[in-house]
Amino acid sequence: MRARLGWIILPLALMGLIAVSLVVGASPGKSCTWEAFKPLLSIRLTRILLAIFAGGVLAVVGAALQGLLQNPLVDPYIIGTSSGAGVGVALSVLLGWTTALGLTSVIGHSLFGFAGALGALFLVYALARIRGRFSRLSLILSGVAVGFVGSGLITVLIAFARDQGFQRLVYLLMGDVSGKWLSAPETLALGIGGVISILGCIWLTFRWRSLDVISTNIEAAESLGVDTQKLTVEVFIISAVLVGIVVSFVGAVSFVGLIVPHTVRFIFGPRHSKVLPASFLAGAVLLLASDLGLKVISIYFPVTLPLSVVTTLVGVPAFLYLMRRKTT
Amino acid sequence: MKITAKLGLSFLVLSASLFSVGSCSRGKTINDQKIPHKVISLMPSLTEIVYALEEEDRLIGVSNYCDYPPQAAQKEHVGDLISIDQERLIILNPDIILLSSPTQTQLAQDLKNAGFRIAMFPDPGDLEGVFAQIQSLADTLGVHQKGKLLVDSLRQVLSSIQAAESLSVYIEISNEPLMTVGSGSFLTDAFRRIGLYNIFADNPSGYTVISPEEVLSRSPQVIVFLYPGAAAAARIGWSNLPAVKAYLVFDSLPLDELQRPGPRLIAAIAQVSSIIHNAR
Repeated sequence: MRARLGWIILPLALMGLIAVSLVVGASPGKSCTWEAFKPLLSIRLTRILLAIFAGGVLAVVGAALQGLLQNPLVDPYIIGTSSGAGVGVALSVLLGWTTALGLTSVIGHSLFGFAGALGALFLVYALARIRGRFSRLSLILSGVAVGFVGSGLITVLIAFARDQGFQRLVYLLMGDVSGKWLSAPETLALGIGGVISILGCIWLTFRWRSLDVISTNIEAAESLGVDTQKLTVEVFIISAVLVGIVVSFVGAVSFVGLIVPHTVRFIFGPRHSKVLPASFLAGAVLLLASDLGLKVISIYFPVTLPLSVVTTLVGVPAFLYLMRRKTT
Repeated sequence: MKITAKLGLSFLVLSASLFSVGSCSRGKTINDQKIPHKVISLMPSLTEIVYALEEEDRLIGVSNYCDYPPQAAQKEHVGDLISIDQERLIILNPDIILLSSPTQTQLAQDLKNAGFRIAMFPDPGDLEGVFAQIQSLADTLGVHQKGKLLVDSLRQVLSSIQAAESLSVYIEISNEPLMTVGSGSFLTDAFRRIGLYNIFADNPSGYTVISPEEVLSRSPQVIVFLYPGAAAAARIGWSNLPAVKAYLVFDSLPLDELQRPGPRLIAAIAQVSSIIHNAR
């Protein structure tokens, strides 16, 4: 009953938020006519799609990794690629590579970010592979280690660069779906990223049966015909690529990939056939709501806040409410 | 399984729409010779120059940091120095956007790519650069004569300042990390005009991180702190510095005036000169 209600509420909430986000903008009252609204439409639509894409992908990856690694504390950033992407973005911002190459920020940051993410992916892959086999423990530990090295490197870069780029970097790394100026090449880059991410999410979703088995009992999984090695590598690589893409475009929005899957499990139960698609919807809803919150704040106060701040402040109370209702 | 397939379909629709959105170009055909009537300034110093030129009626938007003169803060805010609210910019539809390099070089590239007309003003390296920037901004606004008058009056104030006997000065602009300015900053030139020679003038960069030992070994005769909340508290080893012994440590000089390479800088230098004269 609760699950059925969820399948009605989540899409409705998403559609409602899309509608509200289309109408709400930085300058209320100035876009009442169609003529005034038209130039804003593409900006608002881009922002909405970015929020849906980032929130959905992060939540799906979080759910898949939590299932695979049987660990409730896992989030998409534990496999290290996000900090690789962070290093790439930091290099391009702080050392001015994007500026020097004459690239626009969308293209430059996502290019360097994704390169960094791939670098981290290969590093984690090589480190976790011991005598030709992957254990899930070595995967987590290598990811965490590479993640720490990455944040260390970012600190070093900040220490060397020390200028106004620092502030921009904080926003980039903590999540920002606004301020993307798009012309044809940027749109193409975002489109390619979007398509790859969506395909990756579908791929992960089709692994629901194996994930169900492996998340309950890994010993039984082998005897039930699940190739745990193959599944581990597959989920790890897809997740790493997806996280790399998201972080390159919108930064490492915290909290979505950790808490959304748990919240979804409270409502829909533990089956991955439901958890993964529902996580996409719930992640999109959370990020869209948070971005809407940012927009409303920016109408009244001349401040720019990173998205992560709002996802946490909006998401934690909702999560705690559900957790307490479920456990009592 | 059904649900998965349905969602898969909606994923695809979503991704397809990602393709189709956003390519709408905001490119406008602009005659570069046209005098701009709707101006947005994204740098406090440039905003101050527009006001000093009495062309503020053309100013339709400023950055969140543009707070002088106080009326400037009443203008529409379009963002901080490096991230801009796109929607406000499009609604305001400016003829030109004033920016400063190198801080805003990336932003300038993005705005140019989005079809906006921009004017870049490099961060001046000396007082001549400040004057040149004022004149160049006046020319951009099509008020060459007003710019000339403003620069002439500022030059007059500058030449009336009496240079004191020469002293060495340490200019601290941040304490964590310890930072000062080199010869690449207009501050080095500004202080030189009043007889204060920057002990780090041999460093060619604008802003630079230094170690406390370097400050000690160069033993400045005057110390100025140019950041909010600075307090000339005792620091290890400082008690033997000539500046400290002679009580020539200043932590309440006019900050914005000195940090922004705008029209208020010259009067601020005169003020610093008299403060330090009186202290001696």
